[in-house]
Amino acid sequence: MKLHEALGVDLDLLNRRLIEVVETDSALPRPSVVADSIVQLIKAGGKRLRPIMVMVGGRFGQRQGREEHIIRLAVLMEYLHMASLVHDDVIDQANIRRNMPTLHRITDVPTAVHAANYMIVRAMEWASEAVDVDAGGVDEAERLNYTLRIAGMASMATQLCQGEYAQLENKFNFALTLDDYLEKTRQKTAFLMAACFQVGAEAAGAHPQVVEELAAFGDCLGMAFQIRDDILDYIEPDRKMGKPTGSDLRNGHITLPAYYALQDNRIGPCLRSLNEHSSPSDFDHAVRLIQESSAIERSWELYHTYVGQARQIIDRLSFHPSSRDLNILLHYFTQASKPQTAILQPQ
Amino acid sequence: MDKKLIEDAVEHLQRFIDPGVNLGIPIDDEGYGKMANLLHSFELTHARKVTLLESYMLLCLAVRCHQGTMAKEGYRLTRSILDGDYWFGLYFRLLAQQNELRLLAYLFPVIKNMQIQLMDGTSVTRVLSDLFFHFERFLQEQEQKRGGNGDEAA
Repeated sequence: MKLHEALGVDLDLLNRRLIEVVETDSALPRPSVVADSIVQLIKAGGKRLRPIMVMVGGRFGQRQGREEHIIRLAVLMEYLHMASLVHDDVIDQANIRRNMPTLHRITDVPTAVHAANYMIVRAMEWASEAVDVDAGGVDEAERLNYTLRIAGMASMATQLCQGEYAQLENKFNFALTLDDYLEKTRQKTAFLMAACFQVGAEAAGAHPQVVEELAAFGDCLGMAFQIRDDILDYIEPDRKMGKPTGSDLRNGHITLPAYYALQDNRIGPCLRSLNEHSSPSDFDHAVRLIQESSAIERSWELYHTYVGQARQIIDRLSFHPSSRDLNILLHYFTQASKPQTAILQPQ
Repeated sequence: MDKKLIEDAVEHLQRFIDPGVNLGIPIDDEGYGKMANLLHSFELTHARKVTLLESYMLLCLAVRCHQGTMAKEGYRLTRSILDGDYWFGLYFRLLAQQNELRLLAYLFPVIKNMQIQLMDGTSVTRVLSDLFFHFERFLQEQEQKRGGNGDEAA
């Protein structure tokens, strides 16, 4: 069973709403390569993990009639994600995204960069219209509060950028501390996941303590997810993306396994000798040393610490029927990268 | 031109940037002086003028960084994109924190149209000139609604 099915999320409806954002914008000229490309990007699919997390967060609310608010916030969250992918593709010089040419390949770099910005602000504009379509009407205070929530979501770009800056400026920095690694991981991945649950729960009027627990759950989920991803980078090649094992190290990124390996006096000197001019065989050797060291096992231990914390939060929220959905998400995130053992497989 | 207002805005903005983010704010932009003059023509507190000028600066910085991705590659291209993203995110954070929610909502379609114009090849100068016009119109509308007192955020 797929994740959205297990959670009872109507993915077709979500995809239709995603397309609606672009198709209802009368300001965007037609025909338009950009409009077509955005629609194609949506139609090419995706797991929609972030909007799903917003919707699950919204199930912990107490207020009725908030469905339209929540789905619009979920759609905005996916647009923020899609826009970041467009910028990532430019930075990574990627040619293909979801089996389609990337936007900057179809147009050019500045156009793609502005198109991503367009996606963000158009989605914010569209999301802000929720207060106009809600039955029963809303007062001015609620309208402004909703605008505040939307702006808060867009301002998360500053956190994501800080994670990217840290990664960019610390290439081959073997003096990186564990705190540096955890901070970067939180900014790049966990912060956004925490925000997804928080935004959905707040919009649905969940109790502040429940909102706090859900944000902490998202943080643990994000940290565990990223640590797992960093470990798997050393264990198995990413055939889908054509990446060899240890591609993080080859790009100068010191992730958790490399950090722990650096503490080992037998491996540390070899790792510290690496730089951007090192040969592929030097990297092969270093990756093998890390694979054979205790670094992988120690990394799994930290991963399990975050998974354990996420489970404790689910236990504390067990009074709520939607805590079942958190279990489904935790199971998905901890199993998704190992299809042979997965019950819920990624799409 | 009110240099003090510009200096106060730059100083506050510099403090608003997250620790560890290595970004500077150029203050020699003639557009800032023009915006400072515009703000002086309305009855606003100094604090609110600083916020509005900062928000204009952040949008200018974001647009210029992203337009600067043309003909760049490698590290410089990456920095241009990230810096533009950071300024853009900081703009939203600033207006949210300062409770300038009406301005935020007012500028959603304006900023969106700026991006459409930039995609169509309109110059940055022209786009920022349009942005200036919309700031002016927002302040005029606020003044009319408040019966002459435009100094109210949210």
